[in-house]
Amino acid sequence: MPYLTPDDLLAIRLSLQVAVTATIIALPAGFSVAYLLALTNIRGKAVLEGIINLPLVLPPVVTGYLLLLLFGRNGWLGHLLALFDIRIIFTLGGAVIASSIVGFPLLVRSIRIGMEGIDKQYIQASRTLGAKWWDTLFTITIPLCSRAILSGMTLMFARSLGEFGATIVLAGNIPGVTQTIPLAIYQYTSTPGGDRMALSLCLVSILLSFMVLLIGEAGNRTLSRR
Amino acid sequence: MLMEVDVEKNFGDFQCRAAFSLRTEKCGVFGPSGSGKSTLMHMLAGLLEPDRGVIKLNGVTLFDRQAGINLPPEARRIGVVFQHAHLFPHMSVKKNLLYGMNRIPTVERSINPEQLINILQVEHLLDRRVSKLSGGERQRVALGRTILACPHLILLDEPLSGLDGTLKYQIIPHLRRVFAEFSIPMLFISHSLQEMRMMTDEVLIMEHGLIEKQIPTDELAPTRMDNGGRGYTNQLNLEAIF
Repeated sequence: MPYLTPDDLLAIRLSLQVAVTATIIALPAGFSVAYLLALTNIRGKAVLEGIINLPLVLPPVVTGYLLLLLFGRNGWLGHLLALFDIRIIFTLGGAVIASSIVGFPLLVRSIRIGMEGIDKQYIQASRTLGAKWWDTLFTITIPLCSRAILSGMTLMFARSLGEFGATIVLAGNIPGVTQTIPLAIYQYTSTPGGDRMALSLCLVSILLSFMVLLIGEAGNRTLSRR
Repeated sequence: MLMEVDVEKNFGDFQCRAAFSLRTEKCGVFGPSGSGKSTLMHMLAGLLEPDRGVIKLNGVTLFDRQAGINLPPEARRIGVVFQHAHLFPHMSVKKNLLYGMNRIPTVERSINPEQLINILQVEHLLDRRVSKLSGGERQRVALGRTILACPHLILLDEPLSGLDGTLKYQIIPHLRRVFAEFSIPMLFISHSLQEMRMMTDEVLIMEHGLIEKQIPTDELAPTRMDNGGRGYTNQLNLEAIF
């Protein structure tokens, strides 16, 4: 029988909080980058794409370590934020940033593929009918790639729920503060007699991920019927 | 209508160069596939930037490379009916029809949507999804959508070539009636001699990226027949058989 302690419930809540925040924060940036890659003729697309996809191929621990260097006390962003009394490392904000960076390529890739699949003549038709570029963006481009946006968000959310390597380096493993489900499972597995507790959280993790995929698929079906 | 064009666009080994002046309301651009008709259409509509030149419509400069003028498509008031209609698939027929109209100032909405819908015989389709329309219905809605945006010129990019023979001849009377009723100048782009004869009074003949000639449509066939068996003659024969 699965058994969850108050700390486990807190870890579940923190996981959901991190995944939701990371997905929402990454969406505008991810959409903009996908737009640049799919629908504009800017220079240096290959370099931009390479940088965006780096977290996909790098070990998450490396990504986390690079973020630690950036946001640490001596990192230039960390130094800058310290002036405003903002600390990122070993906070929930750090966990959100780690998840955002690691899940970002999945979000961009999905939206970009969706945008590339839009017949450009729909966009041209809209412009010749008097719509400015931002009007076309909201009335044509976004609705026509809404399924790709949803699928990118689903992937990003699921990836954020499972994020471990970058999070533990940047945000640490502090119960009640930065300890998400994967980090709590890690702690249980390294504690004598923690197997059962780890298994309970594993079940929760499987259930949550499965629910995310189901909701994503239901949304996809609804949008495809429209 | 007065349209003055002198533009050039290079794509590696293909060059499109067009210089002409049009006053006729019903004009055509006639030429085989790959002759540069679509490139010209895209440049006029503001969908493709010419490498050099000038485009003026009724005295208004739409594009002038030297003066650094390049009006975006939405500011040109040039409507386009695309070859495959390209109705917005996520909107109903009614929303498609009103898309352009809702984007111009109320005072400039000179066309009564109900009258147009009536002429195009699309009343019964208004609440339908675009995917449920036939090819001919789509093209009628696309035409209505473009006209309701009250453009100063309409470019029709081979609007009938995606339709089969019977449908083609069903839609031509609609086209003629709409243009007669609302007297909107048009540039009808096609590689079909028959369509050109039915729709236009004056024709620009394009070949290998160049405007070869500008002649009244009536003179189209004899001119091409005199062409020593090159260019359109073969196509002309096919049209005659058809």
